[in-house]
Amino acid sequence: MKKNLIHFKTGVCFRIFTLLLLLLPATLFGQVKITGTVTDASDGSPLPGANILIQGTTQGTVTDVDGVYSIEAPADAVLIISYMGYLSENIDVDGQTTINVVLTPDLARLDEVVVIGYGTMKKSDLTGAVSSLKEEDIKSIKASNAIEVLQGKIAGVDMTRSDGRAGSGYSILIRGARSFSASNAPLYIVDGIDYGSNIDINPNDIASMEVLKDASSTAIYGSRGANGIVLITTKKGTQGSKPVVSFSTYYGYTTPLGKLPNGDRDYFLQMLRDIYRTNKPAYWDSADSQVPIESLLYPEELEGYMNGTDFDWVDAQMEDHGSQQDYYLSISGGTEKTTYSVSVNHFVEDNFIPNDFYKRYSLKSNIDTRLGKLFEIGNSNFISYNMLNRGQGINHNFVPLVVPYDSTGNLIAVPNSRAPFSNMLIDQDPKYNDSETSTTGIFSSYYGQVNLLPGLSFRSAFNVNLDFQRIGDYSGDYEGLDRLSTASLNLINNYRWTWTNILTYDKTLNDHHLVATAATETRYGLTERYYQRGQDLMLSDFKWFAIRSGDPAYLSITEGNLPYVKTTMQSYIGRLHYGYKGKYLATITGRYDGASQLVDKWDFFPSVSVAWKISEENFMKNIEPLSLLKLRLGYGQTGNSSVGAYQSLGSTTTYALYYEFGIDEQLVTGAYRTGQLSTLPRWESSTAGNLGIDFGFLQNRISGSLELYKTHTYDILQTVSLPPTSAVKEVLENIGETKGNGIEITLNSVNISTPQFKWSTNITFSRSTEEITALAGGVTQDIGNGWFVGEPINVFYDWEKIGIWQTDEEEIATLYGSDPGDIKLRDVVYDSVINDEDRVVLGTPRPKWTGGLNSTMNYKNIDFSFFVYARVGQMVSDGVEGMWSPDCRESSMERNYWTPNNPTNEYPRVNPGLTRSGWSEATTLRYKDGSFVKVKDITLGYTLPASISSKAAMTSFRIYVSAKNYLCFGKFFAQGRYDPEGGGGTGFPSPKMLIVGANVTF
Amino acid sequence: MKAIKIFFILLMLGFVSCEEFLEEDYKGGVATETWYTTVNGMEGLVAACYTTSKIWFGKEEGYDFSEPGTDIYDYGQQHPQQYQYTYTTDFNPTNSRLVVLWVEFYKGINACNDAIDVLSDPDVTPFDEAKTKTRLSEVRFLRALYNWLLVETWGGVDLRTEPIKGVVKTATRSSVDDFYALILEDLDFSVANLGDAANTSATDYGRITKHAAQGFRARMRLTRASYTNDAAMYAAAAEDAAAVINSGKFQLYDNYADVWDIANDEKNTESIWAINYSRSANALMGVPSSDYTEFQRPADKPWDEREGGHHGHLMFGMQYDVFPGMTRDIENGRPFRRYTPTKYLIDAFHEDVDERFYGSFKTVWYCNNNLTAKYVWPVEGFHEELAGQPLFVIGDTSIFITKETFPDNVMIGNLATNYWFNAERGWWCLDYKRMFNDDGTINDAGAFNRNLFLELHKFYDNTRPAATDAGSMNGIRDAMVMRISEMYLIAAEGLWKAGQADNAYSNYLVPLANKRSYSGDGAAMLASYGINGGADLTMDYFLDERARELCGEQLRWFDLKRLGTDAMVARIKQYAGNQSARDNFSAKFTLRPIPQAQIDALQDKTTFPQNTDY
Repeated sequence: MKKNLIHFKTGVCFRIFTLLLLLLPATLFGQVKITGTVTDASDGSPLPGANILIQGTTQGTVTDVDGVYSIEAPADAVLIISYMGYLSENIDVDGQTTINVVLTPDLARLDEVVVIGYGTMKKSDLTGAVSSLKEEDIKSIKASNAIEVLQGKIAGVDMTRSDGRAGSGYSILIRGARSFSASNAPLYIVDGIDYGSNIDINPNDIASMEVLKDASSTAIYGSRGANGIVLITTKKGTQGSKPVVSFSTYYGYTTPLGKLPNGDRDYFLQMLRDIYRTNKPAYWDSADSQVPIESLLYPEELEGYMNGTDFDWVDAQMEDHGSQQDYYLSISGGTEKTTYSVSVNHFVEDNFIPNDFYKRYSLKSNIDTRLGKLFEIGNSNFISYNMLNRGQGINHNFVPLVVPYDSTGNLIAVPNSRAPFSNMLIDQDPKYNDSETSTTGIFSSYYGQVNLLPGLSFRSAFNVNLDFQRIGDYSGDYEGLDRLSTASLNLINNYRWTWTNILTYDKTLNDHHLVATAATETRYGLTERYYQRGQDLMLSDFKWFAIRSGDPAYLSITEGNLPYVKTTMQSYIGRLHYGYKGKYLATITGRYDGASQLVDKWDFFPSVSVAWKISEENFMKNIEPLSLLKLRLGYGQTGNSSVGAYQSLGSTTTYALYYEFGIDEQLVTGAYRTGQLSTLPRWESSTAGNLGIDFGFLQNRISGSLELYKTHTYDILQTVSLPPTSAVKEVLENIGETKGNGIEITLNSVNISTPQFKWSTNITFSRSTEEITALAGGVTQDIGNGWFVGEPINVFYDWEKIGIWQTDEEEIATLYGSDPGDIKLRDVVYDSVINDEDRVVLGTPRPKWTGGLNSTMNYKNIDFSFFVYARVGQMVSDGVEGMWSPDCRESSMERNYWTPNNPTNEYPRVNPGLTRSGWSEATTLRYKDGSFVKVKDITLGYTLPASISSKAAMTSFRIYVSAKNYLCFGKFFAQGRYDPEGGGGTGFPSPKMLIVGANVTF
Repeated sequence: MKAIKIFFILLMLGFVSCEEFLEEDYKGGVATETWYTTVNGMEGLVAACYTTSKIWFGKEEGYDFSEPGTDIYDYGQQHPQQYQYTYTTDFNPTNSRLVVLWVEFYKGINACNDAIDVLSDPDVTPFDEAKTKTRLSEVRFLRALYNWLLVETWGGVDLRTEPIKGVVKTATRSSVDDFYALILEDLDFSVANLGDAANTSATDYGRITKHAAQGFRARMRLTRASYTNDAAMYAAAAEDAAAVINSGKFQLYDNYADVWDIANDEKNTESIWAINYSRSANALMGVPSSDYTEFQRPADKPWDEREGGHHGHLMFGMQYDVFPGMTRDIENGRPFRRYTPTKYLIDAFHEDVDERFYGSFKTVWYCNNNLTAKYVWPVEGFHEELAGQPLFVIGDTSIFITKETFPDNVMIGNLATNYWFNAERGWWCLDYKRMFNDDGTINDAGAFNRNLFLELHKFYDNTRPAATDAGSMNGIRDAMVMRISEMYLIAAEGLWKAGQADNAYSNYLVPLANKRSYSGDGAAMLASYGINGGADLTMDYFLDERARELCGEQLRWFDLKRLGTDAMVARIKQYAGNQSARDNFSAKFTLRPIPQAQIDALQDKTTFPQNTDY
């Protein structure tokens, strides 16, 4: 497989370098002429432009487009064959005249260029913690969303899919959470520009993704750097290449991962018998209560009982399967002066939950051209339209004795009078309930670059990023349901532009390498909102398209709290990188950000980092197995730009206070101060230190890195209540503090590398801890928000269930106002009363550690890979337990509940006197260990031999099958629950998917 | 080449940020400072200063801390926080109703201070000189009003004289004297600067007039005089009250019931100043409930659907609608049964000569619903001749609540559970004997406890669109803050204390009584209350008379307070409608607890101590 040269600048340097080599005069003495080809070990493709150097000399050559070279060298010479991104080979000529060389890709990728924000850098020159995924890593995952590919592939990134809804996003934390009131999501930068949080880019369009993790790397983004940066670089055409047409597609068949233990008819009937005798001790002497079951049933249940009904409501609310389809077509190429790349994509995810789907259409183009020697200009556009239709999640509250349809096949409004819920199948029908979010986005950039002197360039780029979102919601009336049709339409328009100017100077002088970057950036953002809502529509089919047809009394048009929000930012950015002999490296960055939201507009964010490539030192040279050892140390300060617009202005009421004057009662709209002029707030800030070690053994056959970091976040914004005598309720202040630390390990290994068989493995491991160290008012706990000093930012705080009161504990149980069969809670204060003070922190949804293992094997034309992801130590809130209704009114989910004859400690007794809403300790059943190990992906692929595909005018043709998200291990899942990754919800189970796909290149 | 280089370097370096680019542009809302200096902004701010009054006058929280728990009123069965009137330890700083008032008063005072700040500066006021003076006088009056409510409810708390423009986390306690100094100073300004026009105009009715300011100054001077026993101040109070009376702008009605006839709403000749309530859907939104959620326990949020309008019609209602033969309708109102009158109040009236008993209380309900077959004559041997006929038909008297006492043998207790039936007369009936216990506390026995009582009918509103739904809770009746009759009483009390008892008797008490007696012979009515001339006047007489004239009008707590702590405690211990209040009321309770939300949010809690013993 041909390695793409992603960055033309490096490409240029490289070409110049090889040119220089060619110009060197050959010293011919005792020579043999050697010819051969250089090929890629993974697929046997030729490597054009590979270097062949005679050891100890400056003589060499490069391979041509077919990977062929010829060179004259002494018969006893040693040839060094190298190619960027591949491990170099040293070969003894030993009189041979034909030497074919197979190069193995270098997993440490030290020569690779990585994007670091306002510039690029060779990976070997990095001084901060930057992780990178290249095209091959990205396209190997069949992901609906570009972000998804980061999961488990980059140590320090903790990601979970929110739920199983179509198009559902990922929650992503880089190095844990640090703010407890502002967002902890990273900043996404696409081709140098802030993209927003909705990353709807197809992975096929991506050339590389970089994650900047430590403060010394992210400080270049200043007030927006604290949560880490995800840099996405899209594909461009290749210089001097014929048009390359690629088409790829796949079809995925999805079903839920996991199945809940729905109780059947017999289980439900037994539960009713047990509930009947709950408070009648004598009845438990026999195995069965002697009461006729008919007397315990509601009319609809009785009918079902007589008919032998055993209806599975959960199945009824799901379709047989869902699907994902992706179609991607791209054409790219270039002349010596101009490169281009155009792609179109269509993606559809259709959930197995009815009326839950996501569709995306996108168009992307890049064009770059040189104008003479001095100038370059270019343009890239990304236009997308996506539509997200939100279905209604599964409702587990129905019992198996009742059915959703009446004898004529119509949906029954309220199927069961025991628990009069409306029939969920009505709400799953788009005729009666619908929700659609459509977004049109235009992301368009133009740049011009002038190369003033060798190494000195100036680039000015302007980007316009527009998106228009329309959210329609509709709920219709239905015969027998006491509700009016309701529709709402919410329009949100975002207008943003960014202007970036970058001046770069790159100079090497003897052993000194200096890269200086200075940049300015100007950002403008405007959001406008409009919201309309109506009820009792003239015609249900109008949905949200004719809200005015509704009853005028219910019509409301609101602009939201802030219908018009404008923010602006001006930044000055500088970076100085210095390297001595490629061994001693240092980087200093600084960013000065001015933002409209702040009273004191300007703030400065500096960082410094150094690195020492120990393996380059002479004293290390003879440690044979060690090929790389590099130490990195960085420290920096970053911000979290969490202050909203207008918060520092004293504001008057946005709702009106009316007073009427005169006999005519003329309304005067009154308004008074609701917000105070505040000199605060500032950005939330983090200072963080990072220690990194990069290592490689056996010519980097085994390579990796280890990162250790510590973060201190302060000035966290908190709403502080003011004394009412101050007339204003609250004010935002920079008060809270958190700290965090962690460790990350990345390991890459090429286990086997022969021309026929290749096997490589990547492992990531990360562990992070976080804790709150200070809260507003100096308190140690803020129960209302669930914040506790010394605990992680998100915790579960509740009573702790320690079992079920057993029959022989009746005396103590009574003391606590409980009966045998009730939940036994830990009396933390130990005062024989369970009250609010007995609540404790039970756990956190953040994992203790996460890990990923990715392994790829290639044998001839067959490739096989699998990816395992583990997330361990987190607590989830089990949605199934949230439905447990002790009076059996809702949900017949099978549970091992307590009876005098079944003294379990698992679930309490069924109890006719206890409704779910009136049962506060019910929540204690919910907290569970959500640790899991998942096989996220198994792929088997076959590439047609070039000899066959070329006959069909194809450059390559590959077909594959994959199983995605197919296997899950862990206590929670084993208990009969859905995928725990989403946190234990039950409405939208995560899908597992079987995929068939093909990639063709012409 | 060189030129190009220089051009680009200049472009790069030349892009210096103009600070203008980073200025905030607040289009979706208004920034306070600039808004207040516009005509609309200032008119809006002044309106907002008025709006605060809607939290107290004609509102449940306002009634809660002005009428019940005194000698004249006690809690009703449906009052959700009865401990406010039994004066137990449950009445503490977490009280959710007090916090609403505390928050709103301070917001209102701050709005007034904001308005005063801008209007006092001739360079920034958006109005001409005359209008500036008028509006300034209005807001200074309102500040005095809210400060009075603050100081009498909580004592010497934080006296704010400047608008708060930054973050303030401290509060200090000021003295009661300081409060009254500012109240009187504000009112002096208002009296001096407001015009003499009547308050009945199409556009300005509801705004503060000179008479309102002077009337309120009369009330404040009387209050201050009572505290300090200052004869000159008593005389000054009388002088103000007399000036209002002599303005000729206000007349006493011949028939006391006409004062409360909703047909006289907004043209009430006794009204000196009233809070203007209307049926406008917008105006009903006095203050949104969402403002309180932070301070209130969610389970106890009394402001859900009742943000606006007059609510007096709900508060004093009796549970007529559960009696056989009665159903809830607009005419009879929606009875929330929050407050019930004490024996002292009922006894104060000589209803045979004084119009004010039947003018204030509703005693008769007429059957408006068919009875079930169960309710037919005879009952316990009474009216055998009507055997088989219903006890009454639509339009007949159905319920009668009376100061009379009927013989036990005609009062039947078992006809319908818990409702007494006068079998001789054929009504449901609560008579005097069954209304109160022997010790004078309210009889809570039986399931009718505090559900049945004499209903204060002053605030009825039969213009509401529906009998029950939430929107119909908002009455359009304007809440009269001051009536001319109060001026007669202030003048009389002030003159009496200033040593002019005969003047008080002849020129103020007798003319008022002339209008309030059926016969028109005020002297005779006064004689029936034991007053034959100035020499007979006592403070007890004034308290009795004020109870008769002003009960339910949110003044009683303040009248008791100005007696001084000891006298107030003694009086509540003597007359309170429940035994717990008689046992527990103490000096501590003469001030209400400062809300915990205030104390908790203070940076330095030592500068703002809680009221004693809470």
